[in-house]
Amino acid sequence: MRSETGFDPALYDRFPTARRPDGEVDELNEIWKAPTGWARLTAVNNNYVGFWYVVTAFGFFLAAGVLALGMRVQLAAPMQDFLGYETYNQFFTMHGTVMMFLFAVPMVEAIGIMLLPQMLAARDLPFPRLSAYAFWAYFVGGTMFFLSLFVGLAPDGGWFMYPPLTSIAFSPGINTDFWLLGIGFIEISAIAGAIEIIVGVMRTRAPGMTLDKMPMFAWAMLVFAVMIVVAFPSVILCTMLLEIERAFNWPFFDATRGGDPMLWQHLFWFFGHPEVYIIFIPAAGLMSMMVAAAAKTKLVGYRLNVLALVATGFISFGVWAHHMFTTDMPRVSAGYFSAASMAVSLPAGIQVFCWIATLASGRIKWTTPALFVVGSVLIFTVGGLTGVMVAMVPFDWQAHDTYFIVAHLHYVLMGGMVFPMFAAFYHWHGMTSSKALSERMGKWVFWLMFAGLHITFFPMHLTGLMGMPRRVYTYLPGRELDLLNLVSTVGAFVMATGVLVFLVDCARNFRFTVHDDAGNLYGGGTLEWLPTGLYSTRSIPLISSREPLWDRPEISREVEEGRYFLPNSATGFRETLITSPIRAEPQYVQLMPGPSPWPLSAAVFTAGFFLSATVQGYAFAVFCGIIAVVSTLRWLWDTDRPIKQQSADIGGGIEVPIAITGPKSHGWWALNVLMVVIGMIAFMAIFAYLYLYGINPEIWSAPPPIRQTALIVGMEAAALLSAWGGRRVLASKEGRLAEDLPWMLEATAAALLAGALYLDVTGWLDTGITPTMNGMAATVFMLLVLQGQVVIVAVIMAAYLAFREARGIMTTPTNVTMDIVARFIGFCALQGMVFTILPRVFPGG
Amino acid sequence: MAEHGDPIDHPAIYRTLIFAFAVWAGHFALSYGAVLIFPEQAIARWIAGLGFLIAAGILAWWTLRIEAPRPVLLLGTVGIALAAIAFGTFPAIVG
Repeated sequence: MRSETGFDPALYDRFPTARRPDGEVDELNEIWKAPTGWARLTAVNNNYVGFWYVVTAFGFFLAAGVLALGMRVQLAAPMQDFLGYETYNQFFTMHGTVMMFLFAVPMVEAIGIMLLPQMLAARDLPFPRLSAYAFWAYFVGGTMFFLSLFVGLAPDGGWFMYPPLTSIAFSPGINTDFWLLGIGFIEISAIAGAIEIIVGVMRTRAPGMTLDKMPMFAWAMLVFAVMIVVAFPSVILCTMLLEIERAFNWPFFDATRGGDPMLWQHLFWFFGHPEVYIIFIPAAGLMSMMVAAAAKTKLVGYRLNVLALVATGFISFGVWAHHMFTTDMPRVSAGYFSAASMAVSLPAGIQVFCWIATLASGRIKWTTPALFVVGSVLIFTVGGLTGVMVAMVPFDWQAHDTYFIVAHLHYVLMGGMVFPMFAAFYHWHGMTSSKALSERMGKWVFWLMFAGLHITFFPMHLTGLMGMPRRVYTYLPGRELDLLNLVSTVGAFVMATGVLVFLVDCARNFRFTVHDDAGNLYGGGTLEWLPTGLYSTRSIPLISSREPLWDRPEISREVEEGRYFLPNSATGFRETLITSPIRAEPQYVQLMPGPSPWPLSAAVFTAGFFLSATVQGYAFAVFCGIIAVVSTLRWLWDTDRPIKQQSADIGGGIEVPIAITGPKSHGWWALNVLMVVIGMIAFMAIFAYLYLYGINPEIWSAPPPIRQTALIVGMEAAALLSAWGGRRVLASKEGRLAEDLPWMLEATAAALLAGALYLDVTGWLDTGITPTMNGMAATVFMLLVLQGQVVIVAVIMAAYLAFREARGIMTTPTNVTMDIVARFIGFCALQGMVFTILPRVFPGG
Repeated sequence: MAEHGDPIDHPAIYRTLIFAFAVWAGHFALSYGAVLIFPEQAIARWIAGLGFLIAAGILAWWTLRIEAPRPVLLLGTVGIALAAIAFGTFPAIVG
């Protein structure tokens, strides 16, 4: 057998070991116990955070659903006045925004945080406090955002907020600002969750769980999280640009001053269409696991499914402009997006055929999750077929912005996400509830929702083709739209009744528990169905197949008897086993942080920062920002506290190190992912610069002189060397105190970056441009703003490093904090060089 | 139902999963970028066509450098990527 890390696979033969003492379980319970009372809010265990996340996301689903019912009442008959046009605008904007940003993405992240540790047999995901921060940021930010509806300040420009409608000239109120800052903030939460999921899936799998044995949901979450990391920076950037345009008059989207509103559409849809797959892919992962359980057979075409997920992940980034076919796009480029839109249906088709083949090859038991699974395949297929129709440019010209599109997108999203989510609720609720939900009521839920969906949305294909535009609060009588709209409204209430029955079932039967759960109600074969406590599984099993519980049912007992990895606490602290990314070979024991109020505090004050900025309370925003930074640093303070113990026995006499640094460490992976996020924001900003140059080359003016450019780049190169030197000096101090030189080199690097930025800004100002002058100046200064953000973080990190050294907790020869600070400063220096050189050299004087 | 062929953790397979679709992404970016720079000009179409030949050549080189017998999943991945690239070149020819 090949080895990825030098680990000897023959050591696996030692498992299962002999039964371990029961007293070790008490120790695990003590170490992993969650706080009680109000202190429960500081819990970071995935069992709690994941559950809160799911409940909150479902709450937003219900709230957005109520808005939809309001809209359907308004449209039940022509010329109704149930909702005025302003309120209607707010309703459809909030419905779309909440469903996409506060329900769909958070819900799949929530399910991931809840299921993944158990599915991978990890003690928890690798950064539990980051999970807690992601949840609280989402909860606080999302709630404030939604409450804006009740004070008449909800956004009203549609969920994609196109300028110039949303520019200050046409939307002077702060409604749009709520959307821009609220969504920007919530995206930070989504990215935090994505980093957690990528590192979790790649590095915390049970030994032996190679890439070929990963549960399909883990594969799906990996692709999902990578897509978030690539796609979401684009929407963060465009919300930033529009907010800066509105607040400070920098004309990115103002066509009269060298900006271009189409830039918004490109940036938004570069995120917006992959978003659909970001939602669908995790649901597809859940579906792949549930069809196997429903048919009581292994998934047909596991590897083809993985291929399809990866293919979808890539090709979905080539479809964004199919939302822009009705703009003035060159015909050939419209053809490219049309072709990609049709090509992406190939991998989706592979998955659907695999599911059908699995269902056909097994013996289906028609349980509630099985009904939802089969129903979602049917619904998604209908949505996919209309998707191929609107991928054709001439058809899209006719159907664009009509109810045909509303029907299409609801079939896709309901079949591709909502129905799988309900299936998942039923399939996995036995993990978190001490009582099972009612099968009889579950079937009512399914049939009401299934029927309601078709009654609501099928007629919309017709109203759309008859010319009824979307986003308009009423319609005229006598156009043969009345009956179809009335049918849609009735259908919406039928579907809502299904959801109501589900809520009644939950109220009657669902009882949250982390100890005495109802268990594996539908016969799943993956690891989440092992006996668990707050520490996840008693011992971390050795995996030899994709459905270990089907192939070796005795594994449950063996795991519970502690006969695999980490049967006890090897260090006396919270810990998990870090394994290699491809073959999941044991590498080291990671010490994990426990409950803390600081992630909650950081989230609340980050929300305060964004809210204050929305209402232009800048002084209070600065105060909140400072508290948020301090809270974050405090939360991190004790996450890098190495213990004296250097290695640990993880079972079977296998010794591995504790808490390492460098490319093998999980922290290295997380920082890399974060740098990809920041790099993508930079990449999209450069795209904006080049795009505006392509549109308006006549407004481009001469850059600063080349000598000053060389000086700035030289300072940035020096910062890079200094940051790298800090690590080298620390490495040379093995066995001694770190002393001052390492942190001083990092501080020097940060100071050099700040100096270079100052020269860059003054250099451009000296050429006579100001950010408000035109699109070119605005994008140039935007690059500097982005660089300023990372420089501020670099300065804070250098100061934090100095403080840690002063407190005597900088270890030698390596230190995780030093590793992170030095590499981040190096990244800032490289980004600074690109931002300095590009606008000064291209297009040049 | 037993699954045949090499596992995904075979380096040739997981690397191909990324590489083949990265080639697709490169071809897409090249074709679209060419239209942005040379809108409504024939040269943009020629670039897309040339890009197809280069992309196909790269995928062929990638596949041939892997020793036979080549994993079926690898061939399937390259096949789907190549089909998507060919599909994406059509608008340059007929659009």
